[in-house]
Amino acid sequence: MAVITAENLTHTYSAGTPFEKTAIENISLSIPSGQFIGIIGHTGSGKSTFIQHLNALIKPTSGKVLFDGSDINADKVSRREIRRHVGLVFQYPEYQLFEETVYADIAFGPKNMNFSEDEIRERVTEAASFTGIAPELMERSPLELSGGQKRRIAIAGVIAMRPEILILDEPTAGLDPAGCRTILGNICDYKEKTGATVIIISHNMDDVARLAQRIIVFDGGSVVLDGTPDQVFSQAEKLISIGLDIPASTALALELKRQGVELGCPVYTHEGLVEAVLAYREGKTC
Amino acid sequence: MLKDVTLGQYFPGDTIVHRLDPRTKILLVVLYIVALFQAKWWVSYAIVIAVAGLSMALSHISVKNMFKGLKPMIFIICLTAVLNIFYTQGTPVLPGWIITWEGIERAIQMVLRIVLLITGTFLLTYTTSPIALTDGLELLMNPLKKIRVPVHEMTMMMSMALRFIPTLIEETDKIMSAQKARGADFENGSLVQRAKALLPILVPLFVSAFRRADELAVAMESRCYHGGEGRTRMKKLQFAANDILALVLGILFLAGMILLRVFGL
Amino acid sequence: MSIICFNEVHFTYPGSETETLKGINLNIEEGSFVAVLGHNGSGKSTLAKHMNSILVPDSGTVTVAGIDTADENRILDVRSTVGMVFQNPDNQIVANVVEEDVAFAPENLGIPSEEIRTRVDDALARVGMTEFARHAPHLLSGGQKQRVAIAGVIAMRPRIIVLDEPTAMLDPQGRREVVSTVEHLCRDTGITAVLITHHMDECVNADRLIVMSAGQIIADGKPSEVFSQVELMDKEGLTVPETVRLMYDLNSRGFSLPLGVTGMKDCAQFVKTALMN
Repeated sequence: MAVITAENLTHTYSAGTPFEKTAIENISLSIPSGQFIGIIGHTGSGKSTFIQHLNALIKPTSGKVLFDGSDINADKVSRREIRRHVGLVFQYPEYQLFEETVYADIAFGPKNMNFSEDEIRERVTEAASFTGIAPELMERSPLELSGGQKRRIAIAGVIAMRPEILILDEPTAGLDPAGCRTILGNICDYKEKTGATVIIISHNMDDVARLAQRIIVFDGGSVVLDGTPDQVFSQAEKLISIGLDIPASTALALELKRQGVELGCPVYTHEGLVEAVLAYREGKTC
Repeated sequence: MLKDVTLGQYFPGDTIVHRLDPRTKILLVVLYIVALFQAKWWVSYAIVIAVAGLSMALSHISVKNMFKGLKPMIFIICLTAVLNIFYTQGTPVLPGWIITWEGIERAIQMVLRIVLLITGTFLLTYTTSPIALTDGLELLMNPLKKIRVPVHEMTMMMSMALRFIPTLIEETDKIMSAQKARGADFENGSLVQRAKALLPILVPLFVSAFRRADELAVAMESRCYHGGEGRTRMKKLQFAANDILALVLGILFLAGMILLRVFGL
Repeated sequence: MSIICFNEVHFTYPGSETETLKGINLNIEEGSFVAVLGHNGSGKSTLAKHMNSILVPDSGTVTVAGIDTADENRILDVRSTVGMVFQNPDNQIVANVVEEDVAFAPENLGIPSEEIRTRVDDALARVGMTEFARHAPHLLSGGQKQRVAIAGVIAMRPRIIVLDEPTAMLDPQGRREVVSTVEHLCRDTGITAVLITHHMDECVNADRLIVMSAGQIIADGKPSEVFSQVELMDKEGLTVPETVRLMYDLNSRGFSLPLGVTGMKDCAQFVKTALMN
């Protein structure tokens, strides 16, 4: 199954001009198949630049991206080919909708991949069901739907390419809590049913803590932490020092600790916090 | 990347050129352009180049930035050169060739003319903030209000357009990447196919431009915008000694160019 | 004294079948910081747009500082009394230089040049953007752009500032910048602030929290009081602060903690006391 690897990846914008800026520097990491990964870091930390390397939208200034062992930037063909395997959903993807109907818009990706009409139909239907788009919406114009619906249509447009790796840049930005929950539910669904790797960039620590198996922290163009939520959120001080939030439950656990109630195990979700407090009452430490 | 396009962009600075009144600079550019069109021979061109070079030096605009601004025009410039090389009658460079000495000379002069023309106008937009520029234009065209030309509205629209150029360029970049990620191909295929491939960029871009215009209109109204009537300005434009000096120099420059033309230089 | 009064306000968008505002009655005290929470389509933005005559009620009245917003002759009075900040920072900045943008509203009001200069410098200082006065807005971060937009509004010297989801498009850093700017403005200058949002954590420090749903006000009170109605908030698809949620869940497992606690320290104190007994 698909493994994607970054080797000493460096990217410099506007190289050779006064505006030169190194966005990411010497990043090496491997993403095995089937992981749910959360990428966190503040704006300008290089995380968006990094993910655009994973489907060859940006060419590395130096270093390589390998997909199942072969260089995705080897030639023009491989640069296009990789986009079948690695699907990238940008921030505010609803701004890319352009077709007259929802169906046609979701079909844009598969069409570009030259599938037969039947194959396209099957993929569009499947993607629509993953993202909870009702069949009666298919012939409507995407522009007249609500913000949350548009967002899901745009995500369906990428899912319809059946990527083995699905990357989403802040998929819940600007949505209300209910909209956020629906979208995250859709993404988890896709992951569960297809076994795809999912990478999501998010500023919402509670979401990342709850969903991701592995968290990669970017700061100043480098990876500063990479591990399970346990490992990453146990370094709460470090996260705060680079200007990031920590999950509310972690913050509350830290406050309890400051007041002398040591819960004894890393807490990063609400459920975890409740259990930890209950365990403490029973005199257990987890 | 599209972001590198500097067309119509303002480079903030505090040079003598930046400090000139925008009205002065607009008038100077007009004088400069008229003067440029007087140029018939190398001596005149050399003088215009010198004047343009001096202005660039005074305003601290580097040659590199100037050429970056010229990049989008490269196609027009090349086309002009090629047309002039091939379609000018005269003495062939080699017997039987279509290319003539006159053609080469004309091509060089035409290219120079275009480059100098663009350089002059860029100097204006590089050193004058769009607001100052439109303020200057509005004041210069004020007499036209008498014959019911909507001067304020026109200049306001212009300044809005300039304000949104960088925003829309950035947006175009984003939409292009997003469509590429969905397998869109902007590089291969026939001309018709490539033109068709632009649709997924243009449609979202227009939709978003309309949305922006809509929101902007509401935001402007909320900030009490109600046309040009009764509007004041934070910065009142005022002519200074330097402006008068610059205008005198500009007029002298034009006069000199007309003289040179009379003498066929 | 109430500075904004909604009296039985009904509103339906043209072409829509459902009413967006279903009889709103609301009085907002001068100098208070009021947050309005609600999911998309709850009518909270429509409510905001009624406060400065962008929309006027189909029936009922809205008055700000005693002026009826439906009075077309006094529209400039209304708009210079109530400043509005919108969601998308890019679509409300008019000028290419920060200070010129801040000057836009006073210029429209016909204020003398010297006075505009003072107001602009003052407004930029208030939002902490003085050092960016000569910058191009499109190169600023989202949070900075919104602070410029706020400066552009307070340069009108309004008595009320209404912010319609000003943080929806910002990262956490930008959100903190904007919310703390609004809080300071309200506390330091006595301006009335109305913050429309769907982030519950931005409402915690407000004097008053109003929750909207389907065109109606369904909860109204101190943030701690409103958040303690956990079932109601859940039903509305809204979130409550982690402190409240923790105490609520612990209570269902045999604790008896007060729900209206939004401060981390206080919450930890209560949990600690409960655990020690």
